[in-house]
Amino acid sequence: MSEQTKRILLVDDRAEFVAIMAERLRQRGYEVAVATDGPAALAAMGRQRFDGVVLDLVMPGMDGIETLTHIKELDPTVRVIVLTGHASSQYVVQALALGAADFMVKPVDIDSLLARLVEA
Amino acid sequence: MTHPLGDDQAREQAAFFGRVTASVTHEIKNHLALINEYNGLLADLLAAHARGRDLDPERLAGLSAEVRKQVRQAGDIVGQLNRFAHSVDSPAEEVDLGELTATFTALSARRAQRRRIELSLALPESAPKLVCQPFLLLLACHCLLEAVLETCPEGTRLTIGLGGGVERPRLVFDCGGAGLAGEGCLPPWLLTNLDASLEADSSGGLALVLGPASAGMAQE
Repeated sequence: MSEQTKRILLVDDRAEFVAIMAERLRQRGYEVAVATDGPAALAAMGRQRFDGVVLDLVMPGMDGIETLTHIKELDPTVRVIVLTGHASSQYVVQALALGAADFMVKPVDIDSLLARLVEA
Repeated sequence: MTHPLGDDQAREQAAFFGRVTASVTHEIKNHLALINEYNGLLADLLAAHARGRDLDPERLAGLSAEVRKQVRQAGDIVGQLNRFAHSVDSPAEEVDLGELTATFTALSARRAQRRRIELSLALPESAPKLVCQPFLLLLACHCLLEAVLETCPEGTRLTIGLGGGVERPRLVFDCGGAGLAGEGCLPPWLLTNLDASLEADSSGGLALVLGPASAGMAQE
C-alpha cells in the first residue's frame, strides 16, 4: 500500500471489535469500511477499491479462507493481513498460498498491524 | 501400547477435549482482543488529550464499563472451561443435569454460532441428578449436537431442554420443531457406559434418554 492510499476494509464477525478498531484507524487518518461476514466484505470490495484488508479467518457462513479466495479474485493486488484468534499452521499455509501478505494473531498492536499493511 | 479404553474410545475422548478447548480458548482470545482494543482506544484518547484535545469523561466511563464487561464474560467462560477440565476427575459422580446442561451450552455456543445457530436452555426449576462420569455425558451431548447442527436450519434457535423427571431424564435438542437426524451419532460404547439411548422426541427434536436419576430432584 502506498503512502497516498489510505482505505482499509476490516472483516470480522465481531461487530464490536471491528467498530473499535475502525475508530482507532480513523484517528490515524485512514478511511475505513467494516464488514461482519464474507459476503458483506465482497460487496464492499465491489463498491470501491481498498488498499488493504484485515481479515478474520473464523467466521460463520463463508469463512476467512473462502472470503480471501474471492477477495483475491476481485483484486489480486490488494494487501490482505489475516488476523485471527489462533494461529493454526494449516490455516497459515493456506492463507499465504492464497495470497495473504501476512498473518497476525489477536490481540494485536494496531501500529504493528498498520506497519504490515503499509509495508510494500 | 493399547489404551485401556481402546484406541478408538481414547481418540474420541481426546478429540472432544481438544475441540472444546480450541473453541473456548478462541473465544477467550476474542475477549482479550476486545480488551486490548478498548485499552488501545483509551491510550489513543489520552495521547490526543496530551496534544490538546478535550477528554470526554462519559466516553472514558463507557470504555471502562466495556472493559469490565469483557473481563466478566471472559471470566465466565474460563469458569466453564475449568468445570469442563474437572469433569474427568472421577470415573463416576453425582451430576446435577441442570448444571451440566448449562455448562455444555456455554461451552458450545460459539461452535453453534459459527453455523449461525443460537443455543438456548430450557431447564426445569429443579433438575434431576445422575451418577455418571460427567465428561462422558458431555461427550454424548457434543456428539448429539454435532449431528443436530448438520440438520438444524441456519439462522434458527436450538433449544437444549431437560425433561423426563427422575425415572428416565431426557436431554432434548429441539430446533423449533424441525425434524432432526442423529442416527448413529453416538458410539455404542458411550451409550452403554451411560445406560442411555437416543430417541425421537415428540417435539420433532432428538432426546438423549438417560438411566434412572440417582437422588431425586436437586435442591435449589
